[in-house]
Amino acid sequence: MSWSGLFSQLLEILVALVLAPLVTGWVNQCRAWLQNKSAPSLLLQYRMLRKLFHKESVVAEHASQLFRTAPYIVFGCMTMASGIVPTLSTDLPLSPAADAIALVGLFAFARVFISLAAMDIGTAFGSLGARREMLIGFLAEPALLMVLFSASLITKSTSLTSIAETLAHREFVIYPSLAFAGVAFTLVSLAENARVPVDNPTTHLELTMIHEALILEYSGRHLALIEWAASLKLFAYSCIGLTLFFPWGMAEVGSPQQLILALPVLVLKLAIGGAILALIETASAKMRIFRVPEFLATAFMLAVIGMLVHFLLGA
Amino acid sequence: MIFLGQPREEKLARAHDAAWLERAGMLWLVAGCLVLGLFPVQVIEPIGQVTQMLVGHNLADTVRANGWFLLAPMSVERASYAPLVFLVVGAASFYLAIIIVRVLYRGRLRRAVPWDCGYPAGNARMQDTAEGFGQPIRRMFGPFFRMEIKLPSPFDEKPSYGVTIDDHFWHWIYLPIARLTEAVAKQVGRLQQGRIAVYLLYSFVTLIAMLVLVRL
Repeated sequence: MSWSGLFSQLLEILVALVLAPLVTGWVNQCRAWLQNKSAPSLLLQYRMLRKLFHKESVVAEHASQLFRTAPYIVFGCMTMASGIVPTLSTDLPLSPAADAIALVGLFAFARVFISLAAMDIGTAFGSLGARREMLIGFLAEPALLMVLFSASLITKSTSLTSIAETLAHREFVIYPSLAFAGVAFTLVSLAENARVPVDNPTTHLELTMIHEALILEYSGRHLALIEWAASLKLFAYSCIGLTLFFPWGMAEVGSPQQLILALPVLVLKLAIGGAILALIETASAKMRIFRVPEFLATAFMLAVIGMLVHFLLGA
Repeated sequence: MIFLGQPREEKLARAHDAAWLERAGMLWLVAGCLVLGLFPVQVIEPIGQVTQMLVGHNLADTVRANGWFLLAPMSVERASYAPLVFLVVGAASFYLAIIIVRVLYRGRLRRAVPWDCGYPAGNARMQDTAEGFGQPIRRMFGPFFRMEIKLPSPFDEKPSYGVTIDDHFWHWIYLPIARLTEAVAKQVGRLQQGRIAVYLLYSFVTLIAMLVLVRL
């Protein structure tokens, strides 16, 4: 572990913490423009976090310690996840400690805690949300793993930094297996980040809620942490996508000066990705909860086809 | 069965946790998970001897070569996992969240009734059960099972809900075989009339048949 590695690792976590609400704000802004609305400020997310942190927390009477600890755990998991995914540099000391499979486990860990916290109160909405979250989670996870395996079959590694390095150094070719995996990953990340068509992050209708039903009882600083964690999750997922499919422009081992250029490249890539996400969300309608399994089964199938294509064509 | 939540019956309000000795029984399982999760390299060594005997290959040597805290089954470039580093960094990010909240914002906390969505008469009987929790997944895999669901009508005096889950294979494979065996057994059972005269007749017929066979 070198000092430059440690520096890029810390810088990456810091950039994730700062940039994540901005990405969410940007997606919201694009959505508003596409819906012919006047868009909120790009900084609205920061203001909302600040407001929530300053407010008092209202906790349900029956809530146990688990309910109050869960936001910290979820936030911690998402912070760590954005430290594992290479965003600015592939010189990350944390990378050998946790590969892509551990990353999926980390997301699952956060999911279990947020669901437990939702059930802790004992109201119908909490367990409704927990139930639906688990339904989506157990379908999305294998699909995500298959996507990651497709990439790791090409690069012969499950470590995200090695995947990024290997893919970035090859000459530009479109891998057919990665093309399938890319579509599968888009579907999975829509479901995992509670976006339309699986869930609507701005919904106020309790009956259609998934993620919002989970966090219905949270307020004040706990809600701020959860919202921040949700932004971090979107950020981490976007960066996994960028690592697997557009890994160019990252700093590498032995050249920390590239970090200066890596940040604007990352911001540009995220801006384009966020605009595309907003476009997908605006163009599609929210589907019924029992259509979601079909949606995610399609993702799983596409990812498996990607792997099969790799074995058939060797690319 | 309810996961967390509030007691659904009056007598359950006085329910208490099991004694500490009973709970300590669980600790063994927890400890097993922790050891497996945090020290996989050390666990793989004894298991490696088993795989050596079964398939003639042992993972322990490659795993041990990378040090005691890094699990890399083939090589560090292929796949690696350092559970202790993972735990330490995870704990550090958890405390980062606490520091952000506790140091920057010393927020107050107030207890209130949970959100009832405009229906204050909700009680503990209305909360979800384990049945409800598994329902979406069960419904998704519905075609794989033979389910009979008994739904109460809205006018039932004492509504009851029941569901029985059966295996398709039980009806498609095992039950036909069982029925066939039973039918054959029933035919065989006809031979056993339970009268000594009939049995003597069987012996007699067998004897004659054998004699005829030997003679031929």
